[in-house]
Amino acid sequence: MYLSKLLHRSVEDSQRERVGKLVDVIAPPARVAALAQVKGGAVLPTAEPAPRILALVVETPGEQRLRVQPEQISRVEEEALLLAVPRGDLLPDASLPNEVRLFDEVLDLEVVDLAHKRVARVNDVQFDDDWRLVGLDCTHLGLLRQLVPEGIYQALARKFPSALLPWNQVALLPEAQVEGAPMAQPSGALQLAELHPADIADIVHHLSPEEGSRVLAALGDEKAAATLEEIETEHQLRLLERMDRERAADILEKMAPDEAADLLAKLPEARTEEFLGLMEQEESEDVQELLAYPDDSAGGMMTTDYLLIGQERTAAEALARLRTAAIEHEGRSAYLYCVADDTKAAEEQPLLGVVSFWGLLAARSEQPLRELMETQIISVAPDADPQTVAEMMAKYNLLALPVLDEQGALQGIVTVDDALDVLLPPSRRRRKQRMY
Amino acid sequence: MAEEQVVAQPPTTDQPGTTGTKKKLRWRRRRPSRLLLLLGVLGPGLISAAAGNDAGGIATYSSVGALYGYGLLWVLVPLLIGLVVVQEMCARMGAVTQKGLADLIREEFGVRWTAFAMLCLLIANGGIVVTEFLGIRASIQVLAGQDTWLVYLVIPVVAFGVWWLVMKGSYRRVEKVFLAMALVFLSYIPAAFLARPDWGQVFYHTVVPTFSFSGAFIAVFVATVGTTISPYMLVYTQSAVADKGTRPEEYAYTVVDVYSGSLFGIVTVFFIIVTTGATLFVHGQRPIASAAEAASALEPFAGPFAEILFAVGLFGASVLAAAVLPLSTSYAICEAFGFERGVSRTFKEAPFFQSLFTGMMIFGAIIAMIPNLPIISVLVNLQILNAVLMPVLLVFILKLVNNRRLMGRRVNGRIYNGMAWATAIIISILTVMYILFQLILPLFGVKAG
Repeated sequence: MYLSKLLHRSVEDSQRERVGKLVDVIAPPARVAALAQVKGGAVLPTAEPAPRILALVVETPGEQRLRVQPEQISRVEEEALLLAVPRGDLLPDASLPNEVRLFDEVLDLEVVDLAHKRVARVNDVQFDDDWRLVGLDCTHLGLLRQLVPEGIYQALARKFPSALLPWNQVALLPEAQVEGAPMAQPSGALQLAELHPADIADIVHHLSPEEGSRVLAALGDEKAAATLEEIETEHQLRLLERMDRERAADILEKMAPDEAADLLAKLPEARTEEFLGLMEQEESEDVQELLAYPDDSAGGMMTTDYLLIGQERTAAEALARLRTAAIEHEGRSAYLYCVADDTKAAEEQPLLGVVSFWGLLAARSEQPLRELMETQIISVAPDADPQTVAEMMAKYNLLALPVLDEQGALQGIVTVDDALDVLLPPSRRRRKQRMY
Repeated sequence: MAEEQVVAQPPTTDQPGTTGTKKKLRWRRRRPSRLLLLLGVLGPGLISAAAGNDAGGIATYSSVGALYGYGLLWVLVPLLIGLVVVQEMCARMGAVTQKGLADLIREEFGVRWTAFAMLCLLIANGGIVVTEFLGIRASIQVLAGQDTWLVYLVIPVVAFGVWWLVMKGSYRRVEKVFLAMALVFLSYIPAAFLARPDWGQVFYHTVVPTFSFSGAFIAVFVATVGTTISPYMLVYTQSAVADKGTRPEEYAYTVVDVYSGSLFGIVTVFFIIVTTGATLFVHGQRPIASAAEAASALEPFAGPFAEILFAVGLFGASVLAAAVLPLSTSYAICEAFGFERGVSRTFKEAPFFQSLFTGMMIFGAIIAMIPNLPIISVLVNLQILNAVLMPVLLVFILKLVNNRRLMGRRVNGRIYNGMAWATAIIISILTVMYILFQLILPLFGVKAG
């Protein structure tokens, strides 16, 4: 049974008296638990049975809306649905939490196909004879079913098997709140958060800025920040513009400082100041520091998110520091940067050496870093051009390149992901799809 | 470069132990001013109104001037109102819903109505694609003579070139060249003055309506309406506004854009009709047969260069639209049905989008190469097709724009609805009259006109 075929079908009671027509079908929200399977990219076949629908909505000629439980239906005929109960038994329809109205909120709209990490338009919804929601039809066949005569459709359907999207692998997009419009029902929770940020970013690129900002707002700060980092700058701005200011500042705080600086540099000055003011002082200062450099220089590419450590500390201390950093999502590069005194800021003293994580793992635990570190530091000046930065990283096989000022003090590091962007041809970089 | 943009001079870093807050507070880039912001939002309305002056537009307006002189100038006043109302509705829908028209039709009306609306759009836009290639043909004929074999070379080359540029994603870079070429049509404005029209007559006809119940008159009338307010404009305006991500709060700028764009478009039309009325009409009141004849209207301004000027403008405008139209049509249709879309997709990834886009280009190019085609009358007739399909889309638009769930408090007001419905109804009546006079009455041997 298909939703498109069921809609507007006449509903008759046990006496074959017309009650009204079918206008919607209510389903439970997709089960979040099922998402565990999608995690990690592998999609396992779902063992659990398809969920049963909660009710059908019937509209009487008097425009009254009634709810019909699936058990109250005795037979589905070509022309009508027959009820097993008298019409007096039907309850009036009222909106309840944790329900999804398939006609209103799903059919013809775009949903996120979690397994394939893309946005798909729902052409139809299929049920089995027991009113279980078998899946969403996003294929061309779903379109043809509604457009061509039954005979032709049957012939085609035999040729191309239809692939259904299981209900538990679909995330609905958060609904718009239009000014002055009647309140929309909060429906199924946003399950997108389970995907990798880069995948969420891909999906956001497919959506309008409005929908995209709603998706971001529904994610946690960490996740939203990681997602925003993966989005092309022009689109980032639009998303940020549409979000609540406080919330946007929270997300900016969680972003890598270089990414946040890149983003803020593109905003109007007043807005940048506003965000910098709303952000926590520490994060805000990191970003301000980075904003000082031109975009197309090592300074503009670098991040201040590095790990600084005194050279007299032991390998064991360094590992402990590393562990704390990893837990707090800090210092996303593969090196520790050694200075004379790690209680002072990096800018106030020269960089003495670099220890890689591997070097650290191989060291004896009481060994001081002074003995482990590489003192022939390969570095660039803040005004080095991006191409040079990328070439140096390629030549010396580095995962991050320190940026030093004239005094040899560490200003920041350029990580390999940002250097990679320089080398990729423009068409391969992540960006929103354009018309042309 | 960077030094120029220093806002606050940083304390130099070579003083160890500099205290105070983190040193430098320079900004990386100059922030856009308010004016730039305005210019950023400006655009869709202006472009889509200016795009009205393409091959079909020039042919129609020139025919109007040549056949009836200033007699139809009054139409421009209601046309301006209709254009503003309709364009503003679509821009508003784009700003509020952030979705394209095709998208909204699908989400609100379901598969069947969408199929119907998209078929109308495909026919209307397919017709315009043909007119754009005819425009390219006409521009060659103006320069190389009526019977030149060059058209059979240039049209396929241009078609392939545009197709290739779009597919390569580098069309945006060359777009400005064609846009600049199309601006040549602004020379109708000085030409109108230099042609020394009787301004008293011009003013009289702008204010006082005249109408004639003849087949030819109604045909030209309907074509004028169809080319000025056409379906693709509405689709384009809405998706451009949505695509720009105009916030509902910034909507005031978009309104300025729509109003000024529509006014600019209609003013240009006004001068085209005045120019052709003062030249072609005075020389002999008959339909123009060739593009070269239409070009001669520019003689008061450009003298011997009139033909070159006309050809350059026509070529630029036609190529511009020949790329954008198939593209935006394919986008709209694929969006509505949820097919993969985008020029960066391969044929395998987005077969429907690619075939539709390529198919429209090929169709346009082939029709435009039919030998001995009466170009001007084909152009005018395709504009009529547009007018016939316009009310269909208008009804969809009106239903959507009055949907409170979508538009919230930004639904149409009562007066606005009145004007919009009036536009739809008047266009419908005109097309019915056209069909009556042109197709049905001749069947019974009644000769119209």
